[in-house]
Amino acid sequence: MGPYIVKRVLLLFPTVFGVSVVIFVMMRLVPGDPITTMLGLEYRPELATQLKREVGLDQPLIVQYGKWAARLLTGDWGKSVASGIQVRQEILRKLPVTLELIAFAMTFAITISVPAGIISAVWPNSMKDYGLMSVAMLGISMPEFLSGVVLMLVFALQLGWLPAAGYSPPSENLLAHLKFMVLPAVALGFPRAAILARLVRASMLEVIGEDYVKTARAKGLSEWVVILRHAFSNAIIPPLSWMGLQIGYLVGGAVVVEIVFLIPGIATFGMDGIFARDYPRVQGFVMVITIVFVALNLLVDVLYALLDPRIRFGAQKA
Amino acid sequence: MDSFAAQPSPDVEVVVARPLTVVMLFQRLRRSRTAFIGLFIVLVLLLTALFADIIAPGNPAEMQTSARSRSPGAEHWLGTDHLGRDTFTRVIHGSRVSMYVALLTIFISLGIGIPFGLAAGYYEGVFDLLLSRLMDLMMSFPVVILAMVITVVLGAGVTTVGVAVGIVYIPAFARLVRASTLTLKESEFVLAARAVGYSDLRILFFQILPNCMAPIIVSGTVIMAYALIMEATLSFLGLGTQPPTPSWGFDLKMNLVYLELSPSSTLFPGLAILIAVLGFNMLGDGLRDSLDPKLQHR
Repeated sequence: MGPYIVKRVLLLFPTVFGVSVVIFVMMRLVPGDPITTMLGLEYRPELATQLKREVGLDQPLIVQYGKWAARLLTGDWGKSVASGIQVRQEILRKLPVTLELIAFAMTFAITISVPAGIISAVWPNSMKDYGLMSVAMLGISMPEFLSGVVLMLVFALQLGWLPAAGYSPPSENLLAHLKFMVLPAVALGFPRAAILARLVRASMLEVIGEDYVKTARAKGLSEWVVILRHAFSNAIIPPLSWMGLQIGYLVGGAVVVEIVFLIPGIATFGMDGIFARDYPRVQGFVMVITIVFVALNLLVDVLYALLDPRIRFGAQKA
Repeated sequence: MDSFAAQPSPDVEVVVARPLTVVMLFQRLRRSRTAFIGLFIVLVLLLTALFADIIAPGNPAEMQTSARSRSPGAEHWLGTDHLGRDTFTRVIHGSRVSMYVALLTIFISLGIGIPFGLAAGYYEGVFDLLLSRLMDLMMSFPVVILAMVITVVLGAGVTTVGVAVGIVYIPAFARLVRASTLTLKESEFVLAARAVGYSDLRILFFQILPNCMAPIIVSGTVIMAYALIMEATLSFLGLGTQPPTPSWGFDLKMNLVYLELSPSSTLFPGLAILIAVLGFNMLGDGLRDSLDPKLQHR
C-alpha cells in the first residue's frame, strides 16, 4: 500500500507544475492586458509602461513565470494587479465558502439518491421505479444554472420560503447563513443525486441477483434485512467511489452556482479576475481549484485502493 | 458507417469480428423505447435548426417596441421579452446555436481524439506516454474551468464555444479509443491483417476503428448532451454566444432580471435547453442498453 500512495503523491508534482504552466501561458494569450483594462479611458502609453515595469509585466515571459512559480512555492501568490489585494489571503478567505457549498451539495445528493436507488432496485420496472428514474433523467439533463433558476423561481419568488440569492456569513447569523445556502446546495446537488440514484439502482440490481443474497433469503431473514444489510452494504461501494470522484467536478459546478446565487466564494473572485485580465488573480484561482480537484481525486483513489486490494496489487505490478 | 466496414481478404474472413453497421444499430435501437423517444427529440431538434427560417420566419433580433413583455397569445405564441423580441422566434433560432456547438464539439473531439487514441494504443512507447500525460493534464482541470479559460483566450463567440468544448472532451475519446485499441490489436483478425500485409493506417482505420464504434457512438451522444449544457452555461455566464445572436443560455440570463414582467421569455429558453439535453441523454442511454453485449439477451 505504501509504494502505491507514494507513487500517486509524487505524480501530483508534475501535474501541478503542468497546470501552472498551462494556466500561465493561456492567460498571456488572452487578448488585452491588465494594465490597459485597468486604466480604461485614462490610458496613456507612458503611464502604462511605467505601471507595467512596476508589476514586472515588462520582463520576458519565462522570467515572469519563474518569479511567479518561485513565489508560489514560498506561499506568496502575488497581488491583484487591479486592487493590490494579496491573492492568497483573498482566496483563503473565500475558499471555505465554496467548500461548504460543495459539502452541503454532496450531503443532499447522497441523502436523496440512496433511498431512491434502493426503492427503484427493489421494485424494478414498477411505477415507483419509472417515476424515480424519470426524475433522475430530468436531473441529469439539467445544467446547474437552470436548476438554480427553477429553485429560485419556486421557493424564493413564488413561495417566499427562502431568500432568492445572496449570502450572510455564519459568524453573524447561523440560521440566516443556512437559509442562504439551501437553494445553491440543492441546485448543485440535484444533477449529482440523479446520476447517483441511477448508479445505486444498477449496482443494487446486480447484487440482488447474487447467490449470497439468495442464501440470506433462504435462511429466512426478513426482506428488508436482506436488502439493507446484505445487498446494500456491498452494492454501495461502486456508487460511493463514483461520488468521491464527483467531488472534484463539483468544484467546477460550484463556480456556476456561486455566480447564479451571488455567493462570494472563490468563483466570483476568479470570474471578476478573468474579465479584468488580472493575471495573478486568475492564476491563483485556477491553481487552487485545480489543486483541490486533483487532491480530492487522489484521496478518493487512495481510499478506494484501501478498500479494494485488486487496485493496489495491480499498481505494484505496473 | 458502412464505408468503415472491414474489407479482409477471403482467407482472413473467418476470424473477423462483425463491426457495427447502421442497419444493426437501428435493429437494436428498435427494442428501446427510451432510445426511440431520444432519437425523435434529436431529429426534431436537427430539423428545427435546419429549417428555423421557415418555422419562424421573423428576425429573432427584431424589436417591436409597441409589443414589449407580452404574455403568450395569438400574435406572439410564446410572448415577447422586455425589448419586444418574439420569444418563439428566438427559441427556434436558438436551436441553431445549440446544434452547431454540439456538432462542432463532436467533430473536434472525435477528429482529434480518435487518431490520437488509435496511435497511442497501437504504437505505445514514447508517443503513448507523452499523449497519456497530456490527456491527464487536461483532465486535471475541472471541465467548466478549462472551457471558460479557453473561451476567454479565443474571445467569446459561438464558434469559440464549440472549439473550447471540443478541446475539453478530446481526452474522453482519446482514452476510450486507446483502451479499445490496446485490446483489439492483439486479436486474431488484426494479427491476420498484419500477416496479409495491410498497412498500419488500413489496420487502424478499417480493422480496429470499426470494432470500437459502439462505445464511441454511446459516448459521442452523451458528450453532445454535455456540449449543449456547456454552451448554455458559458453563454449564461456571458462567455459564450454574444448578442444579438439568440442563444438559450444567454436569453435565459438576460430575461432573468425581468422574470416577473415576462416570465415566458425566461421559461421557454430554459425548457428548450432541458428538452434538447434530455433528447441526447435518452438516446445515449438507449444506445448503451442496446449496444451492450451483456444486456442483449435480456
